[in-house]
Amino acid sequence: MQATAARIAPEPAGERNGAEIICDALKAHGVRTLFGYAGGAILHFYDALYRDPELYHVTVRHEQAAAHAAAGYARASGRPGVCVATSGPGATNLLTGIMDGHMDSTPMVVLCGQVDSALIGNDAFQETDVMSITAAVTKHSFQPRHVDEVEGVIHAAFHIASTGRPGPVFIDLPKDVLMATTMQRSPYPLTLPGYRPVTDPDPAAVAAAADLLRGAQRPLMLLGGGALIAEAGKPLRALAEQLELPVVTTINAKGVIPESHPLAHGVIGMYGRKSGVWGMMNADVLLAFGCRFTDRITGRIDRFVAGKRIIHVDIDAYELGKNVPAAIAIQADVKKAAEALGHALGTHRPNEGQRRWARQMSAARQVCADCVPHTAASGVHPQQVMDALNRLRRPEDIVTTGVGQHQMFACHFLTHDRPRTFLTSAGAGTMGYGLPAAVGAAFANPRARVFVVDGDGSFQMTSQELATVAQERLKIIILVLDNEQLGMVRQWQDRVYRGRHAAVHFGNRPGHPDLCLLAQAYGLASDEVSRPEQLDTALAAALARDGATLIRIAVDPKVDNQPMMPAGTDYSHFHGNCVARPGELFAGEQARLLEEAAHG
Amino acid sequence: MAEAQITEIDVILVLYVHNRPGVLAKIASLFYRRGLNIRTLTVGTTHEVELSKIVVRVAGPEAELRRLVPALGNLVDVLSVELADAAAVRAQELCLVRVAAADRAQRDALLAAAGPFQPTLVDAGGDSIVLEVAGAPAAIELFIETIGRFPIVDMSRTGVTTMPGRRAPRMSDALPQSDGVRFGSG
Repeated sequence: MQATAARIAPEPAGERNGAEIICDALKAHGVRTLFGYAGGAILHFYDALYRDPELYHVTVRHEQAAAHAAAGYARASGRPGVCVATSGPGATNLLTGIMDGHMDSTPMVVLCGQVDSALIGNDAFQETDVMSITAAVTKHSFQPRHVDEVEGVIHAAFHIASTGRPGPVFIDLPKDVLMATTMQRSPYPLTLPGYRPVTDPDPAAVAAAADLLRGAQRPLMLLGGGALIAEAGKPLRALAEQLELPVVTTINAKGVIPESHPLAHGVIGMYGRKSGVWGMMNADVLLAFGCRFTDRITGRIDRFVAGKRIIHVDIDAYELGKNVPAAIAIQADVKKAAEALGHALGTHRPNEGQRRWARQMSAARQVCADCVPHTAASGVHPQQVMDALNRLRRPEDIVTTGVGQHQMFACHFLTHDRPRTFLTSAGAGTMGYGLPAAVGAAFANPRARVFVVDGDGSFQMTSQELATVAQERLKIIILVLDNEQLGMVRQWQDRVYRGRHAAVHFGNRPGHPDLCLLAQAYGLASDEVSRPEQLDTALAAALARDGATLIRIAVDPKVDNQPMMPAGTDYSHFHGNCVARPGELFAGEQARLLEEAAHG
Repeated sequence: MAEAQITEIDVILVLYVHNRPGVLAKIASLFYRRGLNIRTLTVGTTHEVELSKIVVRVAGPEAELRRLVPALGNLVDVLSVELADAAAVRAQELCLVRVAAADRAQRDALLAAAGPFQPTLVDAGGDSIVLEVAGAPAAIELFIETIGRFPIVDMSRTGVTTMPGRRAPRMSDALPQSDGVRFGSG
């Protein structure tokens, strides 16, 4: 990611207070939109916003949504998202969104009110030790105690949030600091002596990686969110094409390389696509860029790494060797490393073994491409929703998701050919992410059409943001896959708890809302889909309409995400649906196709 | 799931950090998250006003401690972090012990036993005496073991500190002419 280029504004005449200094510094970093919720300790900042016509504030209905909207903005645009809240409960309500951004390395600048400096530590009204509370889920935090520190803090926050491995930076702003005035422009120096992100790869490690790749028999490229953040699609694609490398991704790397590309095998992991998972099981050299090797990708580590040599590229030294041992570890910006590796490989072309592997992977990919869409026993099957979206989405259109079964169906079946078009809570799994993230994405990219794919459980976590959607007249199309339950949890209860469905059923009892009526209460259009053949019509009508539409889709409550790898196991336990026997991903006719492909 | 062999190691971590409020809390929380219990901790300012030095002695699973190093390094206020085997590091510690000694005979016996450790007699008033011993942690532990047969009523250890072979990082390295970052004028 590029450092935010701070265009320092010419020194304005006269005094400014802390709040005005923040507004000027935000504009110097290109900020035009921020997401937040007013309250006591931050009011001086809101007063400055009121008087500043160049900054647009989006009032959300809960601070968590402000943080998710800032994250959605950041991930859709590549620039830091900014959110604002007041002290105490305002600050703690932000926390889930900050944690979510931290897990997915999202550049965010969080501005938070605090009580007067003199009252900090005295348990004043709405005072909380938010510096301690946020320490574990931020990249860094600041609490300026003097107005002359403020400008330097804002510049440092943007720098830290957007360089190296991005992340949220929290700024606690005591009320007296916001109110105090000064003639100075940041006369207090602020140094970051301990902050020096490494971006250039070690040439010796790159050369060793090139050697390992030349000798590989079954090489596979794995892309994670770091590849997207580094905007490394071009050199990574060139590398894959040169070596005929099959490419698999984590859910945060959807679209780094077009998913319709013949080498792209979609998302792997617990609910991954069969061809990619098969590639992961059989690869001898894994070329991994910007991924953390979480448990959802690896399953049991010892089984995952057996028979594999891993080339691990990441900008964060902490990730190298954290979860998997790397044969070659390269700490670097993914884009720079991909370019260096391409250079080191020169004109190398795949050897016979590599070509044989590439043909097999290509045949495996075709089997998945020919996957017959599932039909539901009742209502609509989630795969049919994704197919409908694939039919009408333009490449630049953005999809955000909530968390649950619908999210895994979206990851598995949606085809994204561009980066920054699929926004999902990957690391944290924060239910309720989809709607507020869509609000942020709509401001980041006004030309794109924004779809929310949500479940009824996840949607209800932040459904109050329908108010924000209506207030801002955003054209967001919200698809709620309503199975009247927490489907993902129910699926685990079926598997692990012998079908004892504790606390997961919403339907057939008071409290499950009519979601269409809910949308109407906010003045939004709504539609009801209960049969697959209604999908295209409903989506077309929503696209033709001014403003947002909520489409409630009655999905089959018995559908599971399959095939899947149970937690704590490995890919030899990958089973369900198109996988007849655990671990035997391609059997019978499909196995014969792969064998044939191997022989060319 | 087969348990991997867990190797315990006893190490000394040396950190140079930006001398600012809250830095120690962030560092300590990273130990806590990994279930690592700090044995001793020393923190002090240095010859450079913005630079503090932290020396931590900690024992725990090797994998956890090795993962901890880059996690500490990622803290924006940490300039450098080094991990070394505690037994291999030349480390110093100060220990104060108050021992009950009602009469002359008891005092003589105590001083004779402590003699090889070259203690300083800090306080001999009242019915107890206070001894001060400086040395490597192993020597301190041997000293405590040696006088253990006397009635110790209080004890205070400073924790280890050490002087790495290399020079400390310099704040001047963080100025804009290098690859560090500095915001604001002045």
